[in-house]
Amino acid sequence: MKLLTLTRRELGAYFLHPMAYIVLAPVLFFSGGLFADAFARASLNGYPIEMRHFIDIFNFLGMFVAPLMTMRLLAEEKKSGTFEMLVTAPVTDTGIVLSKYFAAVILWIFFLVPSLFYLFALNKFGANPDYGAAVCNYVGLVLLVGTFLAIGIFFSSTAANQIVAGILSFITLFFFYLLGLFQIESKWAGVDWAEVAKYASLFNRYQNFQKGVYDTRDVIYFLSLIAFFLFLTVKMIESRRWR
Amino acid sequence: MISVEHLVKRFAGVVAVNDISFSVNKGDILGFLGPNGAGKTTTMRVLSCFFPPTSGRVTVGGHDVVAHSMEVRSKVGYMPESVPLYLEMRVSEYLKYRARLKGVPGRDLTKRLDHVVGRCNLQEVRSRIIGQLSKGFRQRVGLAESLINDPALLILDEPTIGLDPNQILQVRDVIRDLAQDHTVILSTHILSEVERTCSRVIVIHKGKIAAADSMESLRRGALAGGRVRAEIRGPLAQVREALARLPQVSAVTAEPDGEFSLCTVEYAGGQDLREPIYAAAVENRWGLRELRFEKKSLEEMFVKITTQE
Repeated sequence: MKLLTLTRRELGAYFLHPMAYIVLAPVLFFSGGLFADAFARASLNGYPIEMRHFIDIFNFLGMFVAPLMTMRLLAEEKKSGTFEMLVTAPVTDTGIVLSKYFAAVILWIFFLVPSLFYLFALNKFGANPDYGAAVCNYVGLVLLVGTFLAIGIFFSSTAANQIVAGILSFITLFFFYLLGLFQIESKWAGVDWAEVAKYASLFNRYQNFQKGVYDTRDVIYFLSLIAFFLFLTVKMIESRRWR
Repeated sequence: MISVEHLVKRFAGVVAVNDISFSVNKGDILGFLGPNGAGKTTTMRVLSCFFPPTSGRVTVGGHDVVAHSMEVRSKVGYMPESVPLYLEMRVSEYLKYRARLKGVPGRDLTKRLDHVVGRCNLQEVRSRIIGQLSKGFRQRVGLAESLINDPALLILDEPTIGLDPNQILQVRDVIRDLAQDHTVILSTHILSEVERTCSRVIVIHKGKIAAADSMESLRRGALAGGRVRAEIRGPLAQVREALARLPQVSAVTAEPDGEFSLCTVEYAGGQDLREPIYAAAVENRWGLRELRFEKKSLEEMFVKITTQE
């Protein structure tokens, strides 16, 4: 009940700040542009258009969008002092973190909704998209960016300045992104580090979903990362008690 | 209502509050007085469950602030010094949100909202965006927020800071009104405020309680004795000498003003010195133009308490 109240306020705050609109506009612009491009090229060359041609952009956009969506969440509360009002209200620290996280995830899902239109358009023009793969893609996108958001919230709880929080979380996400591009053969101490990098990279994990392969291991990988960063965030908030 | 026993709060290397104990009864308006950095805000933050004490036991309404933090929080209305608000929200929207958060049941929501809006004179700004309001209105929104769930205890950190004189009077009226069915703790460094609103005072200095009592006895204790201004027509040196001979006089200052000597007589003890001064003037056949008892101010008391080591 309290969680609902908190989540509603957090969601409302996104739309009271210009942030939601600032983020939504480029998401729609780029995904729309890519779809038009993919559609045009497919019909010119006569090969079937696939969903990944235009949904690819979303995981890349998520890397920029997630820090923007989360950097304010706790840093701003601490800076303006509303943090004190929040943690002296009869709500738990876990409730505070979860509500902020849920609001961010819901907003991300909201951003994804317009892309359903592309599926509809494909169907309309007889391309007959693979709906199973589409569902898998969306699940993957929510899990992947959901992890980005958890990382973003964690950094927001560490910094007193939202710009610093945003930069820190972007650097972290970019690091994970580069990890996936790591190709060099490098064996050191009997370990194939390229393999380790591939294993740890968030983006590589997501590629399975993109191909339409649903693997429980990948889901658990993302969920455990989300839980880990949210746990760290709760601990950061609790640290006021013993610092 | 509140019991604080041997409260200690230590931050990395700094002892903010060092072993203070006090209790507050229902219906009291307790004033926390002290210079900046004395530990007022820290004590209030412990009471409002922002952070737990390093050691000591603090209970509010019988609930321990550490073990039963949630019960305490739902009984307390807390307004921090900076009055933090969500500036992008509208007044009524914000108050409703806080009411829900504090567990006010949905059916009472409108009633409570109307009540606090009326009490804090917010009718005209109800649907305005908080960020566009003046400091005085924001302060009152903060006060309204702390009242929204009808808490048994109100903790107000510097509630009148930054208000104009009219608004200060209004806020004081609200606080005095509240004391009929609430307990109030307020901190301030404006001494006249304590004098006008509080029934009890605790003076905190360097993390310790320097004085704690009712307003009346505090004044009597720290301000034992008094000061009399006398304007006497007579030779300066003789007048000064005659006054200094009176019982319990601790200091006499005198300066000439034509034929008159303007004297200030300070004395210890509870006796009124005006009559003996009059008698001394009559005895020496000096004229007496003015004889006035001056109440020592709270400022003097404050300085006396916080400078004695």
